Amino acid sequence: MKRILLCCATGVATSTVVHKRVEEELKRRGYNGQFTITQCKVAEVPGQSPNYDLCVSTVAMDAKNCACPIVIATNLIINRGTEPIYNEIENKLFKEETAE
Amino acid sequence: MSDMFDAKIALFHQDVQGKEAALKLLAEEFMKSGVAKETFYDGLIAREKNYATGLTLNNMCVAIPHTDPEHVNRTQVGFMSLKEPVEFIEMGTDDKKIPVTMMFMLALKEAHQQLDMLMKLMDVFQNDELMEKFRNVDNYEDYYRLIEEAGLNMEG
Repeated sequence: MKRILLCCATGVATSTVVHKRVEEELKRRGYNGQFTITQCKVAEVPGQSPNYDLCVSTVAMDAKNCACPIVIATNLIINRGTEPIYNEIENKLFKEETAE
Repeated sequence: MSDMFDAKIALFHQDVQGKEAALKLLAEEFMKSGVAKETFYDGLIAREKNYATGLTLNNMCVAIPHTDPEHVNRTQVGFMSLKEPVEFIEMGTDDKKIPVTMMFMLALKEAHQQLDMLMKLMDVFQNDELMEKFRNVDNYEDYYRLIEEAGLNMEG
């Protein structure tokens, strides 16, 4: 089971929208049942990220504050130019070996 | 009627200088009506400074200012269009300035509750024709008709 941490500044607005989009797209790509998504505030990422495989953020974020790989997914909010972002999420989650 | 627009917070073609003044003008409507707490404006400013809420759409730029639920009493959406654009930073960047001509200010109480409305609002942002109508609307009746046309008037 892959664990995705989905964050935005407040943890209630844009992350809610992007949560839904990522969930639907990963299911569409055949990963139903292989991932979980948890929403949080970006301020909680340093503490939470060690327990996750990937952090998807709708806001700019400093990689050094995050213990897992990051995908910046601002474009998913308004559903524009989404394909490269979904590909990056899929690659980092299911195709790359996690490099330590 | 109870939806996320029932506090009737909407200002049209306002003449304001700068992001702070624009945020303040609209935030005061939220605070006056009791939708948001007295700390709402400070919360918006703090949030905007760290994580901006500007969005670049096909033909225009908008902002969706919002802040932590602790500053909010109940979920509502407020609207303001501007005579002249004000500069916001684009969401997801630290410093990219964009000229914003409309704000959809969100008072959000908790996650998921407002998911359907937020998804719809993001669809509206992709609808150039509808966005042009929001840009031009100048009274509450027509505004609310647009909200209905867009399917945004769902239960809060």
